[in-house]
Amino acid sequence: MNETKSNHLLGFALLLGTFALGWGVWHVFFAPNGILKLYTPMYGFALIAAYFLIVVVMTDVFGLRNEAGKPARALLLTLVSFLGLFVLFYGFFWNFLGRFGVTYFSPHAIVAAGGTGAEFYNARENSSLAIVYLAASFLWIIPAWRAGVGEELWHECGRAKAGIANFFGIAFFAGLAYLILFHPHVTSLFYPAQTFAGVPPWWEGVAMTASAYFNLGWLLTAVFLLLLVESAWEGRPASLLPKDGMWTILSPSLMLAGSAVAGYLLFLGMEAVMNLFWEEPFLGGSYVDAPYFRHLHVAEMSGFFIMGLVIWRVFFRNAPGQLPPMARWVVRTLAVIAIGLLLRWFYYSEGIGTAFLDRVPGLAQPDDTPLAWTLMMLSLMLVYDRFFNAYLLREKTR
Amino acid sequence: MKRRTFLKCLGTSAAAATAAGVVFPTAVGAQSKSDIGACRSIKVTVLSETSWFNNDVFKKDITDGGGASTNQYTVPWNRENSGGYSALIEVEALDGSRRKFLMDTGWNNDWMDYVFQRHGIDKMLASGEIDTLLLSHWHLDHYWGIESTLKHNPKIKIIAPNTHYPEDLQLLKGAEFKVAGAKNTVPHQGELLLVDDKTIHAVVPGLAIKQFDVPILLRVRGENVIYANIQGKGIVTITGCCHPGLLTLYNFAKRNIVGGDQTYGCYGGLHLSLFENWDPKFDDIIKGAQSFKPEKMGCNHCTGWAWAEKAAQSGLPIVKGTDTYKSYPKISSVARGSNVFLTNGDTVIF
Ligand SMILES: [Fe+2]
Ligand SMILES: [Fe+2]
Repeated sequence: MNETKSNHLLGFALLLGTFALGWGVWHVFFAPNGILKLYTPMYGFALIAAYFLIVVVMTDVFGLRNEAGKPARALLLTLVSFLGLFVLFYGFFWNFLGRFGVTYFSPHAIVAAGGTGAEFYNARENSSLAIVYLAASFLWIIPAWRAGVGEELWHECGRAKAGIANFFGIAFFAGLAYLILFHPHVTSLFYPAQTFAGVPPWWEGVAMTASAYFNLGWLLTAVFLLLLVESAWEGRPASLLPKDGMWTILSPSLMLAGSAVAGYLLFLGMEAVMNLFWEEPFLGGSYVDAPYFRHLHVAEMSGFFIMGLVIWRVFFRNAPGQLPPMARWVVRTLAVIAIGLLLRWFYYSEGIGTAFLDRVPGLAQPDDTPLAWTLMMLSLMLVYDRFFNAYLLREKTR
Repeated sequence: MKRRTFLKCLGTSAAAATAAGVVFPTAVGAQSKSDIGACRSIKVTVLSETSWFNNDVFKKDITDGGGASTNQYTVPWNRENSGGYSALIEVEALDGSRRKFLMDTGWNNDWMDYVFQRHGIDKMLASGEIDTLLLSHWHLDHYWGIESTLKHNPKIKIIAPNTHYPEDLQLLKGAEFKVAGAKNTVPHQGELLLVDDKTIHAVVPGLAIKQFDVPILLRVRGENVIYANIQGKGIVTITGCCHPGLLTLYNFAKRNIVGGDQTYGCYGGLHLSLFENWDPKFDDIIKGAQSFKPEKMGCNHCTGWAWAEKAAQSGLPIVKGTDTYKSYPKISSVARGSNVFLTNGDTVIF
């Protein structure tokens, strides 16, 4: 057996190990009949999304990685990420932004505001949805910004300063994206709708729903495409964009617009495929008939594909390394799609995934989204890859 | 090109390109339509639609119990807060003869005993005037009061969705779940007819049951929906919670039931703003419902007063209830003067 082959086998074993670890984490923290039962669903989903965002910001924006694979640094980074979650979630959202700025980011502030339906559970679900949406906005802007700006911006200032500067650039666009794409959904979560704080959902006509799952759908598809470009296609075509002068701002803007357009086209394609299996959705339909579910399901599919991408890169060394560029890109893309579809099958399979994750069997449950599990697994993989430098796997390749 | 047309074109080309057939299950296809016959009229009496009296307490129990998908048999429910959902359905056949059915059997046995006695259901059960219980789904507030029915007639025929869990059948055979506070001391001795989601099950001419196997709140799955075809008027859906979604039910009738393109109305919980909160998808349903042109919408229970009020304001034909509910010993904390609910003691005729 050659070295690559044995490395892939080891990678596969470690992937299975990650699934086992994921099972443990899911059952301790999230599973509805587990120990802490945080997957209510939105509360647990928001915690996962916020944590994933923290890891992405730490590693992709601030460059906090551990290439040397030092155990102490790995543990420190992991600890910092957990602390970051607490500070961001309970400190920033629940007790700072929610209390002094935007009511709906804090369940306590919502309950204090009173009114019909304002009790803690529901308030926490609503504030959690807002947090998920904000995290999603960042998760789109970060790879677009990175692809557009590259290492160009402020890199001469050193990693920390460049990180801070990039972060503010990203936060500006992410905040704007959130306000336009998601805030109108959150302000519609109350009765009566908070129309002086947010416009009524403007996408309703084309989306056949007032739910911002529409935007979540194409946005996560855009994220998938950006990551596909970065990881499977080795940066092409984004890396061809000039980065100097005015391009410092033009390139990331182009990446944002381009990924939105490409994401939207793929989104339409995926919905067309769903139409083949479930017929057309209609306004006010439920479960698979619901336009908002179709949109959400595009996001969920993108989640599976992103997970496929990360699995392929971390555990299978982004194979193949030898072939000509075009062939490499095609093979990787096919692998990613195959893994994504396999993950989807796993998640919904009644005997396996459903039992594994303690789900209610069936599709399109309003209280379940595979994105929670997907983002949790992605978090584990990123921590393993970047904080622990793919321990066992990468060491062996060196 | 309109977006839908564009999607269709895309879909056709994607059909050739995709080989994902194993990944996406196929929808119920376009088989020939089922004829469920017709009846002259249907009268529904709301025995109890107050499954719990205080939303906040109920919601707290769910939160503490682990959220939306937790197992209902493991949650220590507040016993003071439970009531139940149950309705009496009277079908008038085309020849004028009448048959009575009990839909659902509530939750709290003390409450259900009171309700059944108040409406004479106890005697109808004992005399065999009601010989069939149509169980909509296995949710606690529709099913756990089973003893209140069985103690008057343990041999009653029960038609229920086949999507039960072991605990559900244990309770039916006689069991106690101490933590959750569910108890039945009268084992069921009659026929239990479990309906799958493949066929439309005829009950009497003009009345049929279709099971929708959807995953729902509190680990439950599957709901039996009663479709009634009223001669000259159209289709009425009668639901416990309507978890599968009202417009999905209407749409199913359109595709699969003879005469289903004429929607007449609905009765039951519609599972919308059940916690008096709001969500943009509730707006979708108000707007979408208008295209089905229903003429008579009787709703209560998990429909949510907020939704019913907004629907009524938007011009949907919401049937107004009366103040009879105030003569019950307990009333819901969310009941409002707008009377947009058919609530305890009200009746509606389709
Ligand atoms: Fe119910
Ligand atoms: Fe229910």
